[in-house]
Amino acid sequence: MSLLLLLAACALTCLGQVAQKYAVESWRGVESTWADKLRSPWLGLAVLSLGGGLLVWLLVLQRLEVGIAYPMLSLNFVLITLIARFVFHEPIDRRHWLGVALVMGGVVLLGQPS
Amino acid sequence: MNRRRGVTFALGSVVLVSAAQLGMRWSMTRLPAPDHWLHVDSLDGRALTVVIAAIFAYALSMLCWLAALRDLPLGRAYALLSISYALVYLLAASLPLFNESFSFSKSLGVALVMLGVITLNTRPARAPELRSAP
Repeated sequence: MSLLLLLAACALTCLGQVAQKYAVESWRGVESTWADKLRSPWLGLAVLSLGGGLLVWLLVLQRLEVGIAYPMLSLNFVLITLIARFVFHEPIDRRHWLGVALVMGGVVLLGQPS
Repeated sequence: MNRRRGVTFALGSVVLVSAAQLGMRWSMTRLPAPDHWLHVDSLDGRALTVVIAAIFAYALSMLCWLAALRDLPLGRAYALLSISYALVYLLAASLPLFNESFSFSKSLGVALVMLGVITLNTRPARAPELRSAP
């Protein structure tokens, strides 16, 4: 259950970041006022998911030690890499995959019951 | 590019986010779990204050982070931010306030995560940094 909440916090944060990307892209090249920009549905989604992510994160901290939960939040980098590769079809080099493997290894170690 | 200003903002961000995480943990262990939210008799006022202050510190750390990115390449900035993983782990395990402990596997896990985040965010030396263009 704690792990599920942690994954939900990561997923919401990633969704927020992807929505930010779409919001910025939707502003690009269009003449619009600040009010128009703020009314972008992508920005709304970004704010909602980042806020939701923070709320879920607070619930994670009721259950897991912060010393291990906080470094585990770096799963975000892994998720973002997977989204960049498989949703946005960005090229990912070998060095980047090595980083993903290191983060996953660390998270597995941190997840061991002590 | 003003590197010293960038490093200062990045370290400010590290301190703020670490304090925010520790504050959130301290206060959330003193606030009721969601299944008790419907019938709460009394709330720990101090914990509520700390959690709000922690969220504020967290938001401030993001602003510092954005300010740091004006002067530092992303890879360098993330390398500095990864210090906060070690800082939170060390402080939570050594301050009696938190009741957390050190262990070999946890320390190794934190080290691997830091190394991974640094690896993920460093570009090979000769490749041009396409995204640092204005």
